Amino acid sequence: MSCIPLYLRALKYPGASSFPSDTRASIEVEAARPLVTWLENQKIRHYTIPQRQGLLATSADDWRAAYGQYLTALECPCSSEGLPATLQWLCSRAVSLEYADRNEQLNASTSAAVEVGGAVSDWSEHSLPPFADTASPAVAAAVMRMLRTLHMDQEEVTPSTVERLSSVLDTQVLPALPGDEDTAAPSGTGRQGVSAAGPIALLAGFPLGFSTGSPLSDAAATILRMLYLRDLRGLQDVVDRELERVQASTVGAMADKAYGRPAR
Amino acid sequence: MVNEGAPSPTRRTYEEESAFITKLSPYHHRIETGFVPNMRVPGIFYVNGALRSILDDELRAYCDRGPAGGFLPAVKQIANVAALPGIVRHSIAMPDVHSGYGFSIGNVAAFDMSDPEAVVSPGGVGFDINCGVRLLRTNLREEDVLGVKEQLAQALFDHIPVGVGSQGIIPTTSRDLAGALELGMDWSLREGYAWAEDKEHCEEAGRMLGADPTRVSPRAKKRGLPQMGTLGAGNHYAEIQVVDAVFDRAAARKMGIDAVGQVCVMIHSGSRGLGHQVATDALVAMERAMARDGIPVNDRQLACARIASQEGQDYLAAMACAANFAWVNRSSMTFLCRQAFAKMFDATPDDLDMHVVYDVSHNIAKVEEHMVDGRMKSLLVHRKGATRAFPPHHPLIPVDYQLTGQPVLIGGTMGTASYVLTGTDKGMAETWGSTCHGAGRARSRNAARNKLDYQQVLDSLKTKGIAIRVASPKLVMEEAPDSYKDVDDVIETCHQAGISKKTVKLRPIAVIKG
Repeated sequence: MSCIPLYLRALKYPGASSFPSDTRASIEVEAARPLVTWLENQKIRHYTIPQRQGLLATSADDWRAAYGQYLTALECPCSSEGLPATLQWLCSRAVSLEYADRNEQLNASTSAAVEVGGAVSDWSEHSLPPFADTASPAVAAAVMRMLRTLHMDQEEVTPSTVERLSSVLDTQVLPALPGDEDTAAPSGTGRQGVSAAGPIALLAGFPLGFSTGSPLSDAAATILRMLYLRDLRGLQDVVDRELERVQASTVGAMADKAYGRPAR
Repeated sequence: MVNEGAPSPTRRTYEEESAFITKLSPYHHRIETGFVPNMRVPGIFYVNGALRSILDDELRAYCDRGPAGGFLPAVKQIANVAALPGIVRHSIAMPDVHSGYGFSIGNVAAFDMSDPEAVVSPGGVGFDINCGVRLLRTNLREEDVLGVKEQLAQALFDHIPVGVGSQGIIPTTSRDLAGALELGMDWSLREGYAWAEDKEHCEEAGRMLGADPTRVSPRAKKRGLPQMGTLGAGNHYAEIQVVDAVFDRAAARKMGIDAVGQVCVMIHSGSRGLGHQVATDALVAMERAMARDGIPVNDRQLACARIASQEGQDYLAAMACAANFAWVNRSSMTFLCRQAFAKMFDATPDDLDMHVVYDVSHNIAKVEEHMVDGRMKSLLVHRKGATRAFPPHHPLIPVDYQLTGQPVLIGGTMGTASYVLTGTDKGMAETWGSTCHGAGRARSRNAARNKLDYQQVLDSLKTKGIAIRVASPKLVMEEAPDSYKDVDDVIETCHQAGISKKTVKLRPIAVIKG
């Protein structure tokens, strides 16, 4: 069984989803050419840039000749076999190079997954840590965007940051997404195409302290209460900063000498 | 005045005594009036089957031996409190209830401020005024500290003075002490030992406004002066704990507790010798006041004075000072903990996110507003070995916890789990917004000393992988887990009865004790 689809997903090949999935059949040069070029340009980098021109040849015969030379240069042990076999070897070569470059990070991610997910035989999507690969710039950037959107101030993305983010998404954001039709609120009560059942179910988790008898009115009251609390928090922050300003001038000299100041 | 005029009940059998106790649910029971003389209201206690059997055994032993020596059984003490003038609705006891001086430990009693006969009793607060628990969170994970657990325990032990008669390293003069007694955590903030946010997450914002240092005796001040920032001995401890389970993710997250394995620090301490002396001084003054005002009580240990009397007001002002001292004490130890962690991890306490999750008092009396028969009333609520547990939206809890309810910190015994609970509306309605405070003693200190060997206790903790530093190893067996009730039973009872809600479970990895 061919491992090419698995390798392409692991390598994050942009055309992975459209690449022929049944690679037991022959692979056309038209599909192989962009893959080989991408592997050489992005992962393998065996040739200098001028040497890579042959792999861009548009004539099938010219490209096959250049590809053969390329395999020989890479000392491919199966260069005499067809495209499926040589492409699989090329992909595995790219994966091994990728691992050589990032083994510490990948091993750490795997260890984290093993630790959280238990036995490999029990792994499922939900049992594994979300975004274990936080060292990847793309993942870090995406996580940072989500953190900013959720007003979660963080300067760097670490596995614990991602866990916090995941917890917030699970408990605050995802439950607020539209529910299924069975739990949808009466028509006209939500925004167009969005059921109010999700947010109401979420808000029900926070006791309001009283009830108006209408779930929607209670939800509105809870939202008003939350907005009020957000304002109160802001006010308290201002008070705290003022207290710190005063503290800077009153802090005891002995505390200074013994432990450094301020207490923070 | 001890109730000499009250009809002296003939000695009852255990079965006759038990007939006065009605089971209302699997988790709470009522002591009917008549159980002891002059009960003005019934008693209520919250226990499950296992905890009830401990109370029954105690009552049975009392019935067999008669009233000779030692404390009365806890159920008798609950009932005696129900006979105090001005008590409102019930004398209530929490699942960790056990016998104490006058009031049982775990007893909550509220007295009507508008009733001129209503009393305040130092026995209803306890000798360790404002003994309480503080929880600090960190952004460290268990794996960050496991390799340095012993060093970290040693660092905490080196920073925090522990043990009987230990003296503080926070420099304090008489003038400082007067400031601390009056200002509470505002003093700590002014002197640079606390963060502004710390105050937000303390009951009363870490300062009782009624404090008047002139009401504290010179002897009490003398005892307190060298003890600022000291842990003390007995059941007091500082523990490094890790989050073992999260039962309410939303509430836990509001506390900054995000995941299992997060490292926290719990500090359990009180007002040291100063609080003890304030209580002792007040008991002497109140015995005189009782005789003068003819206040009837069933037990001499229930010394009390009318709230409005000079003795009552003096005690409340001095108790507030002792409470302020305890907050300063816990703040000073928080400062020392932060310094120990900062040095160990070469990072600032701020970077380690060492915020105060909350600070609770479990030995205190406070004037609070509560609904009584559909009307709001001012009550003087005594909580002795019981923790305030106000529900969501209560105006006296911090803005951060308005939607979750007040965090309630329940310290386990040495080497066992601790819990964070949250207050509920049911608790507010039934128990004056109160819940348990710990595991509750099942064996007296003397019995523990006689039956347990301190080396076995220490070895058992080591077997569990808990680093331990003890100033007085021979006192360890008094606080061994075997001397206490099962904290899980206590917590489950509070949760099932609905008087508070389980939020987080913590387990210790390092213990510092006096």
